[in-house]
Amino acid sequence: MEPAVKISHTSALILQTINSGYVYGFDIMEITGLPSGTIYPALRRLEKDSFVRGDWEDRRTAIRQDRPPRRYYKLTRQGKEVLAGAVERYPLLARLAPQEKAARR
Amino acid sequence: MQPHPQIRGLMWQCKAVLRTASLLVPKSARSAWYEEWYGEIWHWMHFLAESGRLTRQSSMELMRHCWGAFPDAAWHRFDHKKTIKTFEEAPRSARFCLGAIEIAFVMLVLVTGFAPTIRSAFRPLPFHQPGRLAYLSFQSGFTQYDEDYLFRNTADWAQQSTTTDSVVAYSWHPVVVRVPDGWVRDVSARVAPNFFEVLGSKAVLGRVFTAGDETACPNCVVITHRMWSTEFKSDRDIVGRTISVNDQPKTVIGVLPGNFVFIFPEVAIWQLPHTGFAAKNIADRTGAVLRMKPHVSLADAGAEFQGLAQKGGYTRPQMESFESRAHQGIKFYLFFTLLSLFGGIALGSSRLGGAKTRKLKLSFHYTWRWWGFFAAKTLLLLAICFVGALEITSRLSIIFTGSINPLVGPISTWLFLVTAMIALSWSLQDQSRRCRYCLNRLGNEASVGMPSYLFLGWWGTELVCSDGHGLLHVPEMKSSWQEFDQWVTLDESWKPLFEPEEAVHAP
Repeated sequence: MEPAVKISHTSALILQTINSGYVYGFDIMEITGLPSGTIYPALRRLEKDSFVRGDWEDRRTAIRQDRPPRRYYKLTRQGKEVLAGAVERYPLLARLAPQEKAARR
Repeated sequence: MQPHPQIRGLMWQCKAVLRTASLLVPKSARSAWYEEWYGEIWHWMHFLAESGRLTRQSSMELMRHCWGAFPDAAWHRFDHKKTIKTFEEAPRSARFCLGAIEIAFVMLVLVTGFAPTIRSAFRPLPFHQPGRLAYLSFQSGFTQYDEDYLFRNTADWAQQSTTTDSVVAYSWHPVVVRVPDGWVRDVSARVAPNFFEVLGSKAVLGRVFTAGDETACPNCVVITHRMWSTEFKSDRDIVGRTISVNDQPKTVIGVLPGNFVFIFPEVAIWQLPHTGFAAKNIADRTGAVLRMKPHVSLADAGAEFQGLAQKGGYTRPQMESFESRAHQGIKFYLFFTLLSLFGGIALGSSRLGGAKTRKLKLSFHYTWRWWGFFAAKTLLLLAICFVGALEITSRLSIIFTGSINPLVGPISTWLFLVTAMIALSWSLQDQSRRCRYCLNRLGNEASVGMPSYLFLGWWGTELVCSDGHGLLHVPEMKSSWQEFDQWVTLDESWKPLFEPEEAVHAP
């Protein structure tokens, strides 16, 4: 049996934030309160380990609206499993991390 | 995609930061990386501007956010784990230790201007038959002597002496000299007119003093090559020029060769004595130079001059050959270095040093490496102490007092001894905390055992070699003189514990 993958508290918080619907760097930074120098390298590592996947939004939409495109992140299946394990390890994570974005707005 | 007019300046600054940071990102990923960051900034800035929240504070926050691009860009460029590992482990290696000490040594040599005092000890003495030259000095600390009396005495001794051809006195003082760029503090020596003749030195420009100059040219001076080149920019018309020394006009009659050094390199101006003028000077700044007759030993000349000087009222006269004094510092360094090396090796390998490693028989190769590293490290550290003590005390004395203070000699000797003891102690301590095989500094300190079981069990600190060669047990409190640091070599069965991780799981 594969041993459970353990992630740091920061990574767990970022995964939880993405899972709650905050899907781009600046949003995650605002919600977690972590500096950009931490958020982006963490996102790279999570992406490298296949816990999140980054996708560019449709370029045509961005050009139509006269703005640059953004890169959105979402959890992979593996990322969701890891997050579930992390929530068990850090029971307060669910309380620290924000509620669903849709519910706040 | 024109930016909002309100944020044009801020956008330009952010873009400049992002462009600079993007240079760190490998070319293949640079464009996508920049686009993501730019997109984020653009949206955030427009949101702030359009919602009326673009204040000075939020602009600052935005800029802070932009600076975060650098760590992110660095993440792309460098292997995070490897970089951290390198930064943590490189300073533990023997190579790093020696390299750092070597760099410190080179820096010190550069700062002191290539250690002029030490260099002068290795150069052949710039005098005619230096083996026949000797110093007569008076070790009387701050006792003051009348300069005129000394010059007359030495002239009498030259006539009475059976062991020497000539004897000339000298007396040096700090002076202030007016140079084209202003005023400089330097050192000047008063010498008898035949002083340079006794040494066998000639001028490279003009002439040196000759007999009769004390009456014909009492205000004449000879300057050193250093002063001529640095303060007078090697002006070839310097001979005959009038300079001001302690507000007194003096005429330059010659420039000494570049390799001429007498007493110490900072003596820059040579003057004739004040005949009939009762100037006083402290004993340590006065003395005489003797040219011994051929085949006369220093001991014979010394015995004769001990008597003459004591009869003249000079306390504790001492004779020393020119060659011996020139190499005195080096001899002292070599003696103390050898003593430290052998003492360190004896102490390090004995129980007294606490580094005895039980159950460990190192092969010749590892033993050689172990003691070779210790010797190289200690030698370099002692060299730093020596150069620092000798050169820096002289420099500081010149900076603060304008001359080489008589206390510089004893201070530099004591400074060398104290710093050398500290260096040796550190070297031994460092050596005892290194792996017996790879010489890397041991790490991962762990406190083990229980204080209350001191006599039944073991209480202390364990240090581990990061390459898995072994463990060092350091007792927290030695319960007997038989207890000392213990090295335990780890066998092959421990190897998997020290292998590098293959998969990256946790960010």
